[in-house]
Formats: sequence, structure tokens, C-alpha cells
Amino acid sequence: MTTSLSPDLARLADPAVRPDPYGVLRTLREASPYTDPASGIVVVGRRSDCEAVLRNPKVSSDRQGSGITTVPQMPNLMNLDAPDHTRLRRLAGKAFKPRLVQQWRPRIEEIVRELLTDMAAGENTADLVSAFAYPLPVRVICDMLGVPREDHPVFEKWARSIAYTVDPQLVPGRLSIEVVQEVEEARAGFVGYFGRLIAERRHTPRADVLSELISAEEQGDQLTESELIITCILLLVAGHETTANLILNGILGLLRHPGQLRLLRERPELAEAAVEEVLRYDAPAQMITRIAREPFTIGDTPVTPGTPLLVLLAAANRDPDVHRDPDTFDISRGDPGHLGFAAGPHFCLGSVLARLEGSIALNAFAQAFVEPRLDAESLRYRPHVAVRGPDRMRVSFEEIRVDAVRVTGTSERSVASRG
Amino acid sequence: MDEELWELSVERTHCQGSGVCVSLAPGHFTLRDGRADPVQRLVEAEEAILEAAETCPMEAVFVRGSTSGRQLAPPE
Repeated sequence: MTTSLSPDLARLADPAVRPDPYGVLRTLREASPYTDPASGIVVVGRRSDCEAVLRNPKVSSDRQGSGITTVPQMPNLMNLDAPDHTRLRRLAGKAFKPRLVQQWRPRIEEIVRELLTDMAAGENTADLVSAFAYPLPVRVICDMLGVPREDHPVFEKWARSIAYTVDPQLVPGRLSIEVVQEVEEARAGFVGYFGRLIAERRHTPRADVLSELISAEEQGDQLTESELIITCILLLVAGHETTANLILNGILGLLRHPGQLRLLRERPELAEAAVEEVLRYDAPAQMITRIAREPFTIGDTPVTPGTPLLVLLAAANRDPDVHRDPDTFDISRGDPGHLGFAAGPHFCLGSVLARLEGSIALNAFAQAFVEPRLDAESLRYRPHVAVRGPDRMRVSFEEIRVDAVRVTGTSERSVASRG
Repeated sequence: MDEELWELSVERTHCQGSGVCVSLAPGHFTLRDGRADPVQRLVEAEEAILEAAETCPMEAVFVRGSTSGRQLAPPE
């Protein structure tokens, strides 16, 4: 179906657009909703249309075989519909409820301090991608799942490969055979790894999310072995790339808007609002795809069953109908919510954890870094289209004051996970 | 299980307006000003309502027995 694309849509996938896709997204939003004549994809970019599509029961997340994603998918939380999706989400969601996630706050703060300490020990410059934003969520989700620290590096590589599976096919043939091979390799690696870890936890449960997932039960219903594995992979990948990008896009926003950085430094209570603004202004999840299951219309645009839909979350987040001065980064704006976590039945399962990690990390950056300066030449973006974030981002600084980061308490979890 | 009605409520200060509950139990929840609200406070027992309460990412949807006051979801 998606064998060719009109130029506007193809520009989204252009690497030259990666540093700033918002001009293209604006053009697409203003033209939307419309059916791309070349590909048949329905482009949805206005806030109200995006929300309507995401909440519409006539729209499916089962994109398999639709041609809109290039990499073969496994049935998981992101591509299943009710009732399978509801069942999985109900079971897997137990581990990500606010009350449980809050228990990890001290551990997250501890990890942040570890990373700051390591950076402070080096020269007065650091790549915040590899030294801060990626290791933080990987360590957190690995600790939550009970993955030993020495296994983290291989997870980063696998997770990076798997992230291609959510990219919409915008340019035919863009995903090379090598990428597909990498994805298959990563998938096989994860399956083998988690298969062994699950067997261990079945035998000896621990105070970690994996043990909770294994025992999670709803009216006699449990996650099967393959559902457990797939859910672990999803949590790891989803809780890794996106959170790292949330932190990086946030730090970049603060560095490019010194007044906002100063504001957060003076008012750390704005850390949560800052995360919301990053999710609106420069969201890690830029777009998602859907398939029409039954006929419906978006405005005057008719949608027939089987039609792929491209929902441009990042365009909707800058819709002037909803947000005043939508292109302004303002952590104190207090606007109505964004679509950074999408909406409807697939609303981000890990939103509470992402917000917690994001607010701790952004606040730590604001409080600990003395005179941080972006090395603009170093900034490189990852090639992924749907998940947006820097691949390299060097920041120089005069000093890192690790003690400026508040510690709220000791972590029982961290003791348990080391046990 | 007895035949008591269920009492639905949404903690509006916790609700983020994700609309998960509206998607799972469309007849029972609706979005008003970006926050979820029960369509009716007292309803007959229905599995979809428990699903909606248990899948809420913010644990903002509560289901209680109308006479017993017992919290049926989310689990305490």
C-alpha cells in the first residue's frame, strides 16, 4: 500500500529535517486531515482530530500486514486491540501504578547521583546521551525488572535496534536488510535472556517487577510465558528510548532557553510542569500509526476500512487552537494537556514512571550543573522517525554539584535488588 | 457476589484525562473539560467497569459497593 509518498510526507523521514521537524509538522497539520494521494495514508495532525482518532473504537492498533510499518511485529501491548489488549494491560499495568512507582523514587535519585558523580569526576564536558540520559532509564527499568547491572550494555544495543519497529514506513526501502536483521537478532537475544530470567524468578521470586508480573493474576488469568517475555521487551524498550529522549529533549530545551533553566533552578517545584512542557514542545513520541477497522470520517475526510492513519502527536501538541504561542518553550504555561503519551486505550502504560524519572533528571540537571553550555556542533539526532531524540549531545560545565540534588530517603528497593 | 449496585467515582485531582476508562467502558465514563467523569454514579455490576478502573494509569477511577462501601477497584 505505502509504495510511494507525496513529498511533504516523505520530508518527515529526511535526515536533514531531524534537527527541527516542526516546520514540516506545521505544514502537515495545517493541510490535515487529508489522504496522501500517493500512499493512501490519512494524515491527522490537528489536536482535536488526533484525539478523536485515538479514542475512536472504529480504529485499530493491529497494524500487522497493513504495510505501514516495515519491520515484522510480534503481538504486544502496542499492536493489540481489545479484548487481548485489555487483558495484557490489566496484568502488566499492575507494576506501573502510581503507588508502586513512587516507591522507586529514592532509587532513581540514587542512580542520578551516581551518574552525576561519575560525570563530575571526569573533564568539564560530557556527552549527556551516553553519560546521563540513557544509563538512567536503563538502570531504573533493569533494576525494576531485576536484570543484573553487568547485562545492561547488551540491553542498550538490543533496545536501540528494536526501536525501529515503531517507525512508520515513510520511505520505501529505507529500512535496510541489515536493520531488519539487527531487529531479529535483538529479538532473539531478548527472548533467550528473559526466558532464563523468568525461569529463575519463578523458582526464586524477588522484590522486582518481573516477579510481580509472573504472579500478577486476574481471576485465575496469568500472563503466559511468551506474553511475559514480550511484555518485558516492550517495557524495557518503551521505558528506555522514550524516557532517555524525554530527558535529553528537556535538557536541550533548557539549554536553548536560559531563562527557563534559571526559572527551574530557582523554583524546583516546577520540575513536573517542565516535564509536561517537554512532552508538549518536543515529545519523544512524535507520531503513531493506526488502521481503520470500520468506515468513519475525520472532518470531511472519509476513511475506509483498512486505511492506514498517521497520527502526528507532535504536530497536535503545537496546535494553536489549543496552545497559546505553541512554538514557545515555557515550563510555567500550565496549558491544557498534551498528547505526549497519546490518548485512549493505548495511553502510555509507563507515564507515571516516565514523569517521575523526567522530573528528577531535569531538576538534577538544573540544580547540579554550574554554567552548562551546549556544544551545538556535537548535537546529532537518532535516525528513528517516530521516536525522536539526540544521539550525541555534549555539554560543558564549570562544575557539577552533586550535593545540590535532594535525596528523599533510603531505598529499600535497591537493597532488595542487590540481595 | 451479592446484587448490590456499584458506586463509581473519579478522583479529578489525579485524573490526567487519558481516556482509558472511556475507551474500556464507554457507557459509564465520559470526558468533561479534559477529565473523566462517571456518566451515572450508581450502576449495575459489569466487568468492563472493573477493567476501566484497573487499567487507569493514575488509579483515579474507583468502584465501591453501594451499600457495603467496600472498594472493588483498584485493589487496596
